[in-house]
Amino acid sequence: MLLSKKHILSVLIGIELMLNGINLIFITVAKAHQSYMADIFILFILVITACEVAIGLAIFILNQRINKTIDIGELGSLKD
Amino acid sequence: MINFLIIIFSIISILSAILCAMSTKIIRSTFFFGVTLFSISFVFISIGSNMLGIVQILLYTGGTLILFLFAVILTADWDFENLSNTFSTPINALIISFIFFLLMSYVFNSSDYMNELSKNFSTFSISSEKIGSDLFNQWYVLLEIASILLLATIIGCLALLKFRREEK
Repeated sequence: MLLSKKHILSVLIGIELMLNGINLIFITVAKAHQSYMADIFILFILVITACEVAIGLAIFILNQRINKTIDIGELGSLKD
Repeated sequence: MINFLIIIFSIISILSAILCAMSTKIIRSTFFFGVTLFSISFVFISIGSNMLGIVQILLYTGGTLILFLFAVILTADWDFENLSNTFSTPINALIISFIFFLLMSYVFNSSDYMNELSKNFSTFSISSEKIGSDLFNQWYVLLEIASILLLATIIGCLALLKFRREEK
């Protein structure tokens, strides 16, 4: 989704799916070692994910209001 | 029974993630994204990480998914006529995804994790008291950094909103 879609929301959903995959790998490796450390680190990953989504959606709304587009390729014009 | 549940929820999460990636309409993509998050949280609960599963449901469905739905609603007046062209470079994405999948499969097959997992796997439940105790005693620096990051996010969103009002 990161590489093939132009919609900003689709790109954000793709990042979320990738982070969920990382969480699953974390918990799998921790289960292999009979450890619970992955639970703590996944909590931090969830916090970072929430921050990233909040900022990303704010930029998305801003881009849609100012540039009147949802294309991620037009994000560069926000700095003008 | 637990293994059966884990397999069922894993298959549901994989299928819904594929449907989420293949949908051309953003509202369908968001719906399948929610299904993926729910099934992953049920996988967490099935393998014994109850607190993590519940936090995943609360944070993702109560926070992230609602934020996505708000963004879809707020931009509902936008003309989505070009959404059918969103697959700009599908071949490149498919090739890179397949190479990444092969790489991850090779790494997991060549390491001992899968053998150890098959030997040591147990759905032992981790108490939230133990996790909270470790968070506030052993990992308190990371906890502080995460809280500062959340504060910076709130300030950043407010700054963006202020910028938007000035633009108007």
